[in-house]
Amino acid sequence: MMRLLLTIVLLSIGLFAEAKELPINATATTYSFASTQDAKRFSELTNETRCVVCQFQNIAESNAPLAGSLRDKIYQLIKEKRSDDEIKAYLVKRYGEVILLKPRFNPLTAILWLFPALALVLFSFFLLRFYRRA
Amino acid sequence: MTVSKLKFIIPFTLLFILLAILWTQLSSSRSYAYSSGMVGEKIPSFSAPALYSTKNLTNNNLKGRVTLLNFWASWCSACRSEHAMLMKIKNTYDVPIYGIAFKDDPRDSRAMLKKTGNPYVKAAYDPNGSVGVDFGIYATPETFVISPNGSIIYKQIGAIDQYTWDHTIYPLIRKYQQS
Repeated sequence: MMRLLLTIVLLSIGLFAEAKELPINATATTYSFASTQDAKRFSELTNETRCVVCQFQNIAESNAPLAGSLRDKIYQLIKEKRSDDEIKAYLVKRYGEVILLKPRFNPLTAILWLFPALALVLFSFFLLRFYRRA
Repeated sequence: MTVSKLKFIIPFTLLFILLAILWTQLSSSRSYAYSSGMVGEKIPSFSAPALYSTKNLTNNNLKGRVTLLNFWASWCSACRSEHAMLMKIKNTYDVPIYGIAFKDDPRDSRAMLKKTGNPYVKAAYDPNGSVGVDFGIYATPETFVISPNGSIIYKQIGAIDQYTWDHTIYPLIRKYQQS
């Protein structure tokens, strides 16, 4: 029983560790880069770009025609020496902020980023008051 | 009001305001599902190989009068159902339609136009979808209404039907044609 439990725990750790890594881009082999830095940027950008015509997928994992075109476009923009911010701005202009799986910090998304911290502060304040009274 | 009462009310008020803002933002974000910042912008500079000639279709072809730019594909069933409407626009209205076959085999595109009729004044193809992405398309069919000075004035996602044409697209075109 203990051995079985240990196996399950180890397998879970293995799966979790695998899930934490960036998904391997199935199409990465078709793109060639001038440097490993560019290859890394491509991997990160495609993993952080939502497939806007799929459910819960990024463009690195999706087989949708549009996802393939977006991968090609990001590859082309990297080759043109565009920065990550420029590439994200290009995508957002065409598809809205929703295309970024990790939205940028701006007036539109500020509440999204700040709400958890503010809520935590307020929650801590209430908790503290509650325990002081108790 | 005593200080202790204020201390009690302020955090609640703040929390309420934050929740209200969050709710408003989340509600309004639904409209971003198919948003496009391209409406109101100049058409991107592009050059797509033509289906029937050696001269590419470029952004310069779309200037000078109100035009329609239709992204379609022979593999897209909604495009096939939209085709009759495009033929009707070509034959009934004075609006030139330009077509770009999105990620389509040009032989399949030509075969479909030969079989069902060609509504386009100039037809091109976009083999890797680069032009489509520059315009911010989601899928096919999508149609852009372009003003005489080359700005995108409207984007139709999905097939154009008679109702959309009569109530949205054509009135807009008439407005720009008359001005």
